[in-house]
Amino acid sequence: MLKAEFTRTLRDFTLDLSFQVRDGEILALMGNNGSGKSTTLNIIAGLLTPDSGCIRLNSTTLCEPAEGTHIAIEDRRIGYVFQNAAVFPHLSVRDNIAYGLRARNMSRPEITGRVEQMMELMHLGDLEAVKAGNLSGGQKQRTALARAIAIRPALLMMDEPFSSLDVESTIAVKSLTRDIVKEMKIPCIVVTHRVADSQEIADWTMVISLGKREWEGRPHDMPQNCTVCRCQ
Amino acid sequence: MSPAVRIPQKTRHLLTYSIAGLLILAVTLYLALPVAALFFRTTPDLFFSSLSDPLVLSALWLSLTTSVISLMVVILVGTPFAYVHARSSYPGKVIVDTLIDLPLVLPPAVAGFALLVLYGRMGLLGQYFNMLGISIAFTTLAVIMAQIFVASPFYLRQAKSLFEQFDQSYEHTARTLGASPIRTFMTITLPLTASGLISGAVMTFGRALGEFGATIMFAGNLPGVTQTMPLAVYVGMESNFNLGLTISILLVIISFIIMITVRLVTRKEVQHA
Repeated sequence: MLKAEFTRTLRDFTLDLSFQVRDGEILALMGNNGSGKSTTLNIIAGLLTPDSGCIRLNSTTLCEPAEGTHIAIEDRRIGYVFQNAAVFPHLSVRDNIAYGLRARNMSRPEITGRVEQMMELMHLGDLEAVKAGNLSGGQKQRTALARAIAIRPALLMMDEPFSSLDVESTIAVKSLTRDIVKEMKIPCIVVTHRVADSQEIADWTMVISLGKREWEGRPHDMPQNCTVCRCQ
Repeated sequence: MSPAVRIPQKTRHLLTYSIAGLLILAVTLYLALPVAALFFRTTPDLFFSSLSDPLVLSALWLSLTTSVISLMVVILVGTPFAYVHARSSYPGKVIVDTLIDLPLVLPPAVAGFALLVLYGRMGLLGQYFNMLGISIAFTTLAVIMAQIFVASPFYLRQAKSLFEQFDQSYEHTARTLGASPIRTFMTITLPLTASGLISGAVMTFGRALGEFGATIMFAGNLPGVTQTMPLAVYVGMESNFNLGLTISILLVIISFIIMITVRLVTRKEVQHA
C-alpha cells in the first residue's frame, strides 16, 4: 500500500496532497496541464524531494524530510513508465526489459527467464531483437511496461500512458495494466487527463487543481463540474 | 514614362542559373586551388623520398602523439565537466560558458603568450614550478598544454550542448530501474550522445594537430621536442621547400580524413535520430 502526504512549493502554487493507494488498486490521477500530476509522480519516485510530509510504501518510508529520510531513486523499487515511454532506442527490446534486472545484478539464467516471461505477457516475442528506437508507439509502450514490471516493483506509476496510442493499442495497454496490477497485487497510479481513461482503468480517481485535491471518488461518480470534465 | 522592360522568363532562368553556377565555382576554386597547388608543386617521387627525412618523421610523430594525448585529456576531463556543467546551475556559470568559448576567438599567439606569462620560468605560477625543478615552457608538455587550451572548446561546446538537449526521461527511467548514476551515464547517456561526442573529438584532434601560434609562443620550435608539423612547415618554407611541401600535403591528407570521419559519423547520427 502507498501512503503519501506531502507538500512542495512550485513556481505558481504549492503542491499539497494526501492520498493512499491500496494493493491491487489503480488510482487515476487527473487534472489539467500544470496542475501538479507529473510532479506528484516525480516526488514519489524520488526524482524530486518534497518540502515536508511522508511517503510510505508498504512498511518502508521512502521519504520523510523531517526525519532526514530519503531513499535513493534506484532503491525504491518503483516501476515508472514515462509519458514518452522512454524506451532506450539503442538497445533491443530484450535488452530494454533486461536493463533493470542487470542493474540489480540478477543472475543470467534468472534474467533470461524473467525477460522471456515479460515478452510473452506483453506479446513482444517476435520483436525481441528489434532496436527499441524502431518500434511503433504501442510497441514502445508495451516494452516500457514490460521493463517496469520486470523488476517486480512494489508500486507501478504511469504518466499519460495512452496519450500517443491508437485505439487498438490503448485497449491492449489498459487491459494489460489492469491484469498486471491485480495479479501482482501492487498499488498503481495512472496519470491521465481523459475522463474516459479513468473510467475504464481506475478503481479510484483523484482530481487535482493547482496542487490541491479538487475531488476524489469512484471514476463513474465524477461530477460534471470538475475542472477536467469542463475541459473535455 | 517609358514602360518597364520585361525580360523573357527563359532568359531570367538562364541568368539565375549562370549567377548561381558562377558563385559555386568561385567559392569552390577559392578554397580548392591553394590546396591543389601543394600537390602540383611536387612529384610523387619527391614526396615519398622526403617522407623519410628525420625532420618530417620527428614532426609527424610529435604531432600525432601530442594531439592524441591532448585529445585524451580533453575527453577524460571534458566529458564529466560538460555533463556537470550542463546539468547544474551555479553562480558564475555564464562566466564559465564565456571562458569555454574564449579560445575560439582569442588569437592563438595571444593564448600562447598568456600561457607563457602564467607558466613561463618567471611566470605567475611558473616561478614556483621552477623552484621545484619543474619547467613547463619550451617542453613537449607545453605543446600539449597549448593544444588543449586552443582545441578543447570544440569538444566542450559540443558535449555541453548534447547533454543540455538530452531527454532526461531516459536517465530517470534507468535510475528508477535500479541503475546508479554512473551506470546510467555509461549505459544510457554516453551511448545516446556518442556520435555527437565523436564528431566533437575529431574536430578537437584536427585543431590540435594544426596548432601553430600558441605552440611557437609557449613551447618554441625545438626539433624532436616541440617542433610539431605546422612548425616544421614554417621551418621548411625557409630552409628546405620540399620538406615544407611534404609536411603540408601530409596535413592536408589528415585534415581530409578528419572531415570525412566527421561527415560519416554525423550522417550516422541523423539516421539514428
